Amino acid sequence: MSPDRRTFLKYASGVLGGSLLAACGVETSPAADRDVGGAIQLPNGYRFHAVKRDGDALPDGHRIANLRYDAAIGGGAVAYTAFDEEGRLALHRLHLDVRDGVPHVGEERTLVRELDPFDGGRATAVGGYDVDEDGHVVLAHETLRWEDPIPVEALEAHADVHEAQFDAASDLPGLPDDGFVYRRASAIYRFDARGAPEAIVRAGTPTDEGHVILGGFGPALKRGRELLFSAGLEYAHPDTDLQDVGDGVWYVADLRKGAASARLVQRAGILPAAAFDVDRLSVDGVVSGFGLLDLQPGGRYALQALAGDPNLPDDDGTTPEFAGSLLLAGTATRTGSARVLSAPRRSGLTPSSDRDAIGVADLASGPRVAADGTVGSVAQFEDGSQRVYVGGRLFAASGDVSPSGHVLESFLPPVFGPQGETYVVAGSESAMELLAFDGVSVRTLLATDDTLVGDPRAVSMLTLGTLIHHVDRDGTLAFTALLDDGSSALVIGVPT
Amino acid sequence: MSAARTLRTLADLEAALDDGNDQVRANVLHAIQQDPAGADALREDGRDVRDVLLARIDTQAHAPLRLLALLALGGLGPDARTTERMLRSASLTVTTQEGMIALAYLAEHAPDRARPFAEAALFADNPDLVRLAASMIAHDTSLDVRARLRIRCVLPGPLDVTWEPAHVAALATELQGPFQAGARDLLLAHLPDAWRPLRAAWSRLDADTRAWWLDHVNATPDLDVQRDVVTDGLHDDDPDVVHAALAACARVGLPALGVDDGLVRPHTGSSDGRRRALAVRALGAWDVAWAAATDPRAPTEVRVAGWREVARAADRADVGPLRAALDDPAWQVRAAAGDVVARRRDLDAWLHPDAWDASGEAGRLALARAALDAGRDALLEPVFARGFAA
Repeated sequence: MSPDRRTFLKYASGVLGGSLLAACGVETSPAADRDVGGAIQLPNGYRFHAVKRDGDALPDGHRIANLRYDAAIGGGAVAYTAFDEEGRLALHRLHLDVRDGVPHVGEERTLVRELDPFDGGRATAVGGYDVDEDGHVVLAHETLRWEDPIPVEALEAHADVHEAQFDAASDLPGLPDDGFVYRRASAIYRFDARGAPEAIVRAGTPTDEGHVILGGFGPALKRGRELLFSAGLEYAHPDTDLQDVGDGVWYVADLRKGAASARLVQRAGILPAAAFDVDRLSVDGVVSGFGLLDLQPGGRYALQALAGDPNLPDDDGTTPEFAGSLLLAGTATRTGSARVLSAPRRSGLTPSSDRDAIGVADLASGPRVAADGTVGSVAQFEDGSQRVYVGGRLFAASGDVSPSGHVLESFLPPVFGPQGETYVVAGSESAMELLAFDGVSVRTLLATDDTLVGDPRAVSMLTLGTLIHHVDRDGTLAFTALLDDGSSALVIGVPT
Repeated sequence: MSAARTLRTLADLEAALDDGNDQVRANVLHAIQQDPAGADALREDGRDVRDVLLARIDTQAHAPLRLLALLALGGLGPDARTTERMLRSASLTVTTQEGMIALAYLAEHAPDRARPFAEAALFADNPDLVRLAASMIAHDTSLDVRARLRIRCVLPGPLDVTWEPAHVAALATELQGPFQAGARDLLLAHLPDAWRPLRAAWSRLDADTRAWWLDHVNATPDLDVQRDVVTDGLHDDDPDVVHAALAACARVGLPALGVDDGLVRPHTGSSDGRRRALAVRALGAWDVAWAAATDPRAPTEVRVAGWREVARAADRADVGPLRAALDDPAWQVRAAAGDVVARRRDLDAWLHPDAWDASGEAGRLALARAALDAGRDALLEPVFARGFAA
């Protein structure tokens, strides 16, 4: 589609009740010539509504100063984070009801607000989170036990206490600068429909395998009764009394059996499965930790692992310098099924030769897994270019021309919809656009300079892809956007 | 930062390796790796650097240092004491990497003694050891089929096998085991003769593998085997397998598969919406499709399946129900109906201003999408121009 044609259609949205047409893919033949079985059915168009804007009231009585670049949707709930007028970051959830093509905001709750009381302590700043198919928000979070500060010396003497970590109090607003550090407790929480937190995994939990979940949680993804998360690990060697401490990725097949049933899926400090290369045998080529991850039912997962450079030891002389991110994928229920789908050159690791592997590349962001197990990711290369891969196949690359005529430079991680359709936000020198791929053609759904329903301000930046779940089972989209006046908005894209 | 120190004697080396500072011990172990000949020259009272290392490997509290010590030992070259230690590591496999280091040493310096460990390690729980073992004995033609299959699941490549029942059982096991991805790729790429004998193992495959086979039914070279697995799949107890069988029918086509449509029709009455929708797509019959598309009580996915099949003969669709579908409350139905309109020869009439005005807002959007998807943008200009003027 030519840029002029899209401009024409954009102006036509007034005639079409404010909907932006999802038609006009690139490289597509007339409908009559296409196989009816090929493409995934995408909506005819979308209406993009701002349901939250800067200055709007928050459920805790504060007001939005600005929204952070994340939102997630599922089971009729939308979760998002916002800084309020006091500069504190909080995680909120609203109930969304789409009637007659219009999103209606129902009950709203603030789930966690920075430095407010939470689970016996004080909340820290919220990181990543997720909304599951039942509308439950899942969050790995640390709380400060700051009513009971511990002098640094005392804490250092108990450095092996699982829940204790050192951190400078000055990093957090509102804390007294008195030389104290504060005990931290961390857990993975599930917030039910009433907004009540339930700790489903707590730091310090010994597992049935004999290891200990230490805390320092990374992302946590819940699908039905399954849970995948990363966390610090005290690893008990099966044949000796040796113990190692590092990072691990864990899988709970059935949350009803409790956190102790968590199985270790990956462990830092060892070469990941499929990465082995006899000629490069060394203790240096290790995984040092884990980044973002995704899960689909049946334990199918993909994750980002942090690799070391075997030729460049870090300051301590024994661990390798960070050398980029690996893409690992496997099935948590099948021991040994992990495969390295991509590995940066500096890691010295050999990627899998499976058909869905990418090869030698650095992972630019967290991977995504579609309902059928297809893995999507953004890889970056030493010349700064990026490529989006879906199932090992190239989806888009820096230098490609978008349906609206922009030369693409970078990409947010892909997002998979309920039918397997793929959404990607792509950035060019002057614009961002939300692309959708229906299996046959690529369509632009929203782009810089488009407007939201009932708002004359133009969109300048889109953030769909910063979390996992931006599309619900009905195809409704949720993400945040920056507008051309510098303000932010929580945007709901309603299929029309 | 510790001060540089020179190791001139074995006692110096021992003292450095007993230093309480991890960094000092790590530096010494690195130094041995870098200059094994120099380290090997340090001898006192009949003892050498191997004795010093062997006494200290298991006392290292931190795994990286223990592994460094093992690497340093192996780097000193072949020696009976080292071989015994490596055999112990290979059998204990305290850590993945310890096993790897040990097997790599044994492969180079004591291959005859390594082979039993490698053969056993092929079926160990530790996937990295499996891969190491496979790389060590991949070229051994005397291995049995089970071992050769496992190796090819790890290291892709052709495999020459006569498919006796035991071999088929081994393949079925691999298809459901930890190296499932490799086994599936192996079957697809290198084992065209395996599908027919594997058919006999159908009932012993788990539901996930049966569904995968149906997803790849075209890869099965024998048409009668294709037909048989799809037929079995249509009668399967597992709903996912039935879905996969119906999807295979829709994708490949009933005539091509040799499957009687009488096996599919009963699924159009299923209470499982997905099964019913897939059956509509699989049959592709006008009567079934039209009934599904226009059944107001049918689930959305069934009506969508109906309209998508109606699109194959778009001009047969009655205008009334089609026009109603363009304004259906479900966007999925509206989009599917719009695709039907886009394929009709009378598309111009649907975009005539009078017809446009008769449509609801959602219907107009569907019509606009139809015009664009048909490559008939010009049809929109009159109605858009009126809208702009208004």
